Amino acid sequence: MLFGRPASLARFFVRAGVAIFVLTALWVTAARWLAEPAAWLTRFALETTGSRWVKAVQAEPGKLTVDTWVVVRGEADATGRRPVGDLVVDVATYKYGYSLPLLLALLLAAGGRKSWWRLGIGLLLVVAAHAASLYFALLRLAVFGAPGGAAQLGLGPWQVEGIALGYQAGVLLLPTLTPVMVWLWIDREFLASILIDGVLRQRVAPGGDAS
Amino acid sequence: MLRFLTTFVVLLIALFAINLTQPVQEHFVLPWTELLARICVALVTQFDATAIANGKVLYNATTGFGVSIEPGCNGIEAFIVLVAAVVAFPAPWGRKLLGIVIGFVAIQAVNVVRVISLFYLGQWNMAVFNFAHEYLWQALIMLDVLVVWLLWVRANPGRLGAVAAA
Repeated sequence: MLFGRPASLARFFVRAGVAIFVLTALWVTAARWLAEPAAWLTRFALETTGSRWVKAVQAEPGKLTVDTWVVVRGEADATGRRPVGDLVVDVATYKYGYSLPLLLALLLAAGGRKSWWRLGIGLLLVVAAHAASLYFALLRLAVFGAPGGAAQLGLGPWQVEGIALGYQAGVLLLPTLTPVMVWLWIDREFLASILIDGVLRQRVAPGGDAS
Repeated sequence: MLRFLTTFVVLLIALFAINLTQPVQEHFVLPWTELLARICVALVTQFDATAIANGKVLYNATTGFGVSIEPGCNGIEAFIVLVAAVVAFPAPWGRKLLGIVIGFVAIQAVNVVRVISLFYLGQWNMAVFNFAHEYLWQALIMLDVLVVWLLWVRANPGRLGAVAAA
């Protein structure tokens, strides 16, 4: 049965692998719109916490654009004057949204009943992690996108390191780790069944104590 | 569960931060990435003599197409997640070390498949390459980490398993 519990871990992983492929391919076709909740949350975070570096935020389907307080000086013109402008950075909002098909694939592969309230909270956590990835991607562009950006924003060395770490974590870890952790929380019974299976295997292992 | 989660998150952040330091990048990550590229070339040239490695880049000498193995594609971050998950789970340290070693091999084996598949996908169709590179393989590598960890947990259920079975 497609949505019943898999008979073995091997079956779970095969199901998950196939589901990841299919669901990610489907997700790509609608990624721009599926990213809207995370885009909204990112914009909200930018406008409420980013006053130090955010001048204005523009949102369109699939893209967030931030007009920053970082000043950029262009090449000198014929009169020797250098044009001055604001650094504008943008990000494709769907870029880190592949958490969603990964979470759905794991839920489908594990089968069984799910708690609706856990599903709801899990989806909110995935959206929040996606928003965090977008926020740090934009912040990194603002800090490192122009010479002296960090100094203009009044950032110390440790703050800059923190932003770099946040960006790396947001890009490399959050999009894949968050859905796995959320799934482990939603499907706790599945993890418990793995542990129980392990205990039973140890009890019937050759030379082990029969108990 | 809360203790496991707390230990996992703290370890993950610490290992990730250590990974990003210049000495670790210079003496471990970059050499490993270059070795990974050479491993991929050694495998590919078994059936395709046009592949060469230059540092961390895998090239097709005929077409000039190449894939550069960057952070996120060298399997290090996935390995860090596995290490944190194994160390955070209650089990004897010998079992943890064994899980980490086997896990490294398992993760890098799939990573080699990733690099080689992307090398050929990129020469065939860039749209498919981008899909596989930016989304699909990221998820599959994390599934690989989950595979290894769940198998290791099943082999080392320990006290948590006894509680679950009670």
